[in-house]
Amino acid sequence: MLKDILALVFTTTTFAATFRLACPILYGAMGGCFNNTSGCVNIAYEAVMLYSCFFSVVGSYLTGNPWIGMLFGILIGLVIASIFGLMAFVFNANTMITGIALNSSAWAVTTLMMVIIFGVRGSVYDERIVSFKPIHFKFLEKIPILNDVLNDNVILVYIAFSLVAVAYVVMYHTPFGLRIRGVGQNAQAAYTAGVDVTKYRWISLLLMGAFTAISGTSLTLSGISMFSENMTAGKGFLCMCSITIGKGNPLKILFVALLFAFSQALVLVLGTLSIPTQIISMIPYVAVILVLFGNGLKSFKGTADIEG
Amino acid sequence: MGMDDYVLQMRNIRKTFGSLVANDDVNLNVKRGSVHAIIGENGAGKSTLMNILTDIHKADSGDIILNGEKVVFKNSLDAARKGIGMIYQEFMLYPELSVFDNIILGFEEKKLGVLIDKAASRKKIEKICKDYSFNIPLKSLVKDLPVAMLQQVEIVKVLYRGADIIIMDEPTSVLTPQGIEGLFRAMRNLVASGKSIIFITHKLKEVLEIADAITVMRNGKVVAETTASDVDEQSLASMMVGRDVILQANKKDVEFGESVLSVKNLTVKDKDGITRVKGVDFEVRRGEIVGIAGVAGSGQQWIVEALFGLRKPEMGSAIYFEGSDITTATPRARRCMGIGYIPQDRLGAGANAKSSIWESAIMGYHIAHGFKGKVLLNFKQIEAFTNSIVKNFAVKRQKNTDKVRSLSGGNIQKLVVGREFLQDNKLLIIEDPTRGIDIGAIEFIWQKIVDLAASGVSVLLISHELNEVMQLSDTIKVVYSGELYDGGSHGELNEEELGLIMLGGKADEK
Repeated sequence: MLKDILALVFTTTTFAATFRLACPILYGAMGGCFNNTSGCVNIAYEAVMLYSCFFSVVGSYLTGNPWIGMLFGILIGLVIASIFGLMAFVFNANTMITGIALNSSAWAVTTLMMVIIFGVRGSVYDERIVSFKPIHFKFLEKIPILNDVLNDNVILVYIAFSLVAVAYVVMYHTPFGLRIRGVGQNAQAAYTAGVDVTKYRWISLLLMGAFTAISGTSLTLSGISMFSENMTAGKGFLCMCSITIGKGNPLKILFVALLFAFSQALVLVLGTLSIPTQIISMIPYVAVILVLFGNGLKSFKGTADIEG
Repeated sequence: MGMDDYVLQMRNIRKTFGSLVANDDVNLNVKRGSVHAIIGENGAGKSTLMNILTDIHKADSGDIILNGEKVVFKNSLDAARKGIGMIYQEFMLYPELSVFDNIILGFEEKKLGVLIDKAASRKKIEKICKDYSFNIPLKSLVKDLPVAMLQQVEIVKVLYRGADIIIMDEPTSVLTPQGIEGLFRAMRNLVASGKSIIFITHKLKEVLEIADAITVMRNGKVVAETTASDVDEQSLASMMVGRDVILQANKKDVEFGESVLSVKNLTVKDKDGITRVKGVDFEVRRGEIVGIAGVAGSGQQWIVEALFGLRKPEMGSAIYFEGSDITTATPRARRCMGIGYIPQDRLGAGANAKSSIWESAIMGYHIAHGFKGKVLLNFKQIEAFTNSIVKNFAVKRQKNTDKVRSLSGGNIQKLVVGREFLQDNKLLIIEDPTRGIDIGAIEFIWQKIVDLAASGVSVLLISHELNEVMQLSDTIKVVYSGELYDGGSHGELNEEELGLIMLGGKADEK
């Protein structure tokens, strides 16, 4: 039994799935790391992603073009982020509560609109919803393992991984990234350095909205071409967890995202064995808890001490 | 010489906040290449004047003349670009960023339009460090560096931004004596290279040591413009407060009663197991002020923590309060018995910056001496008590529901001191009661301590200011390396003799 499991865990199928499943986590995490680093407590990833899932499907359904679908998704992502920004930055509402409200609304509103627009419950499937097509790299064919793991994915997957490098450069090698980091650590100091704090907070928030929206697009238009009720099922929180554990550093976030994606891949491959599905479905969630625990242990220095 | 003599002039500056006149026709003339001190008590209008200079506030009227030309700043950034660099009392730094990033943030050198040109920025910083003899680790994270180093980072930062006039707001309040020496050296280097420094402080000794010109402010007005060579500490102090200040406590004759606090063989180890207090014995009698002097870090902190129950002393130690053994009692139990404590760190342990004034006013006593019925707080009582602190200790505040952090340092200190003094405590443990507050407030708090002792309260005073211990104490002890030495009674030994014990003079005799 254990042998069977191990044989399945370390196959190219698992790693190919990991590569593919990391994509939705990466978009949200790469856009959101700036938002997080700017000192904004934002948990609305789930909301942005789910709204975008739905609107990407609508866009693709209306035009038959997945790129337009993605555009629809990004637009709704920017709208949701703007609502969040309006509440948080303009009306000074509690960001946690704003985030919870948006997340709860996403499930309800998308389900309702599904009934209104498509007249169905549970999930939407239609021939007019067009996904991105997989890309085949000829040069990869000769490389045995990499071919199985990397080849034949949709363009969004490849962009997602390139985005990590871009995000890293922006975060650590541009004035924009430096200022975002400064704003998050001491907004007053940034203000006295002539940095327009409000502007940087908004830009980073909109980045989060736009890129988390692409996460949503990649969930619906990467081949399955469908939307189902609450289909994100916690993937937005995986973005957030990756950012928090990776402390906003795109490279560390990539590592954490791959870990989460791997645990999701295990659900797929181990599903073929005669293990109760409930237990297998737990894997990604247990992985989150374990990673958080391990991460907490690292900074754990014993109980509170009056010496401070 | 003509106008060119001055790098900066502020003429007839007036600024009001509601009915309060913060700056009333203030004039300031800063010569190029000089250290210009602005002194005055808390609330004299120094900060307002500097906020106008850095364009955080707009003046109601008056002119700013920079290098002989009248200027109107568009905003703070514009003021910075025109060469005015401010170093705030609270450093404007980013703890998790490197020193390098801290310096360039907002003023990055760029390449290819979007990327930071790290090499060019580094070169610029290194040149500044070389020109003015600074030695700062550019790669270290700010949170890992000591305060004195951070101050250098702040200075390099304003120079990097092209500052010609550097404003330092109470720069020495966070520094050790060695740190202050280093800062003064840096200041001398800067003015020698033609930079001008505006030095805001209320420490007169430092003014006399470093400043060329001095502007004295009181109640929003300039009351004197002078030079360091024309004044002494006494005359400066009286200009500041507008009357003769005798930095001397008016001690009263008090008959000491029975022993209130008795400490036997107190031994305390820190959390790393190092013995910090080595078998100390002393007692405090009713109405007596016992002062403990000593160089910072000689063991004061651990003595106090053990006395108030914040740290468990080692086996064999004994602390008696009015005859009962309190060696293992909790801080709450000690408060209930009538022991009050004024901690050195008024914002960390003394008050809660984020709470309201009334909350901090009853902190520690909400249970001990009761501001509540069986379950709920008694707001009438709380209000009355808070008002009595405000009245008796002249705390300047708008209303009792304001946050503590809206108060100035001196007023927070008065609030904490007032809270402990107005309770019917039998013993008060007081740490550095006048740290970072102005002369008027020091005089006031000293008087309160003397009055309190005269009314029969015992006081244990731990202070890093030797003069404070000498002025206030009936009995003086000196702590050196965890051991307690006899410093005689009031007036028995002079400053040099006590200073020698503080530095281990008596330990050598053993």
